[in-house]
Amino acid sequence: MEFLVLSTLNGLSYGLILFLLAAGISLIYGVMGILNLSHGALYMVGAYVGWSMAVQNGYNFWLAVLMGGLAAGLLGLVMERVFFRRLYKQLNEQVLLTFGFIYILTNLSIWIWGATYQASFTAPILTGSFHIAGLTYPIARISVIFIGLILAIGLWWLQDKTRVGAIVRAGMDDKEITMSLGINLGLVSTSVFFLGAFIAGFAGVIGAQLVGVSPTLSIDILLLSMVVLVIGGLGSVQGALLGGILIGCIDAFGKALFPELAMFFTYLAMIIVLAVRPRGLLGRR
Amino acid sequence: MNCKKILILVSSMCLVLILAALPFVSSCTKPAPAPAGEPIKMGALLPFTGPFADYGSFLKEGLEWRLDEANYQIAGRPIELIIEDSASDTSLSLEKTKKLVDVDKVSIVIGPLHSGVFLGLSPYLSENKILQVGLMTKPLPSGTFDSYVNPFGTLYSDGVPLGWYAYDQLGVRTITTIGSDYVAGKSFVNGAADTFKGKGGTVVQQQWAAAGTTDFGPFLTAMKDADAVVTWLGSAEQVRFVKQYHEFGKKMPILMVSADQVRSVDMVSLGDTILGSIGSVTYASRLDNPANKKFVKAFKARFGKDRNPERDVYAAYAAVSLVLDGLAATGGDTTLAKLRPAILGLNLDYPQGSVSLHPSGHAIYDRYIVEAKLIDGKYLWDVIHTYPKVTDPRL
Repeated sequence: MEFLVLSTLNGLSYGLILFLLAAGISLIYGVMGILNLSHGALYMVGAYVGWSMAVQNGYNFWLAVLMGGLAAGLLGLVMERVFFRRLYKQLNEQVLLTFGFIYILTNLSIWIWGATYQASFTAPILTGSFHIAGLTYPIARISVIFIGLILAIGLWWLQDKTRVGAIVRAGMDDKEITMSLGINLGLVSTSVFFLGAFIAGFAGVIGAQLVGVSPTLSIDILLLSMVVLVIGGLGSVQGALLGGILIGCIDAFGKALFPELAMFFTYLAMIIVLAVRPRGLLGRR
Repeated sequence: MNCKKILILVSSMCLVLILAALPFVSSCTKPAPAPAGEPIKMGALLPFTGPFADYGSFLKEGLEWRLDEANYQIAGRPIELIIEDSASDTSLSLEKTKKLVDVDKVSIVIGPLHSGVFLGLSPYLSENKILQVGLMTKPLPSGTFDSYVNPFGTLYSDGVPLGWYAYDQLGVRTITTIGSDYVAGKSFVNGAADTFKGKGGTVVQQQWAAAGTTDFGPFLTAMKDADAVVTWLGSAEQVRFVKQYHEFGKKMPILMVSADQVRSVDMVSLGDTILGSIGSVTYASRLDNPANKKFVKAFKARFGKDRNPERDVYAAYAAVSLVLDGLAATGGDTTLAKLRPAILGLNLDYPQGSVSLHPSGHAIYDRYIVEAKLIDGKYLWDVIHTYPKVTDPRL
């Protein structure tokens, strides 16, 4: 029972970090058709900015979370304005460019913040572990679950229940018709890109409570979030959430029970979904 | 107008790209200071990107520092150092190695760090009669190739003294282990586990985590109770593991093979939770011998008194020292048939202690047991026990 509870919590906490990352990639791809492989690098930049603020300069952790998100959001905005909008529907160029950005941002991070790993950090109120019925579990991990779920609800509400969300969904389904209605889809795209990048940076600092910060994060985290996208499906918040939780739990139980096969199970799940439902479990199209 | 804008934009981006990549990704060639003879070309494959990116800059510092000390020359011949990014990727490293050998015409290759990649390059370097110098401890199969030397020993041998110490000195009778799931992790951890079992101890569980693991929660949840936990993980993962281990309320003493994977700077971020951890090391800045005192003094003069010499910088420094000592013995002759036997015949007093080389190319030297302590306000690995002249029992 203890194993079951702890493994589920492990799966949820890691899965929700993957969700935050995947949600941003999914939104951006859905609206703009841009496959941004450097999304993991934006996550890393957010994490470093948050670490720099909270640990190096002693600012409030929640301010660091906000600044991490803003830094990644602004960086994403520049990338979108200067590069990505020129590469609409050019998938090969997008992959090459965004993969190049991974290297550039990683090396710039090493330059600015150093190459060594920075241990996880959190708010003073979230430090330590709680003990219930013989179980010990880090409070910070519980906070990751709560924050992830709150953001999931917020993003779902924004996308499915607001006018802005309706425009975003319309843009995903039919760009030309949406524009013919007089909607400035360019502005919507830029805003969505900023939001996606902001969430990546935000997730970087939230995720740093679990995994700390290092220059290798951009690649480490990207691969699994891509699997989350394949499983959950592109263009839907619910899909990214389901994919994140599924992969988080498969990863957590797999590593605990069959560590040498954990990665196999993760990719097996992806292959099964690709074979049975190629657009993902809850993909829009 | 638009064309002009695009041109300016592209030019600016090119400049940014070049500036960003220069110190890390590109080849860096130091000009030879003295044209007295044919230059000796030395290649180095260091990880500036990929899973071991955090080691690259430290290793580069060690290489360049030692060559600076030698004024980039030996036996009247200038030395050129050509550094490439290995990215800890075998295919990429092989391409870079071919470029070093075929285009740059190097006669010596230092690295790469990643043991698996190192093994992957060995046959090519052996076929081309190029000396391959190990960075830090390397796997046993390196000895099957005839172009390998290393001032450090085998990965397995790093774990051996920890197994002895756990059983004999700490009274540990059961251990659980966790290591990186590739050749280095398995060799390091099994060195300790096999030795521990040989003494009569019991290994209750062995867990292997993929290189690059970010979340150790699942492993910690499944970890069985024992007298102690023995670990070896990549540097960033080791720090991550220690942090998460304490967050999960685990209380078993942590015994680390190659404890200096957790550098002094990492110990700061772990804080007091690292204190009391015990491990085995090849080199420690607190070693009390004349060569090390000189080394530490020179390190602080070059890099600042607040920094502590880490194993990474030392490993690169020692690798170049070994090559330079070998070249001094051959009078600057880089021919593999002459240089490698000359190196194998050396008896050296290095900061890690006295070093001699086994015919396989692996070094034989004292190994140290260290404990994490707070000394003069700094977190350091302090030497608490010495095992003289440790070798890999399988050699």
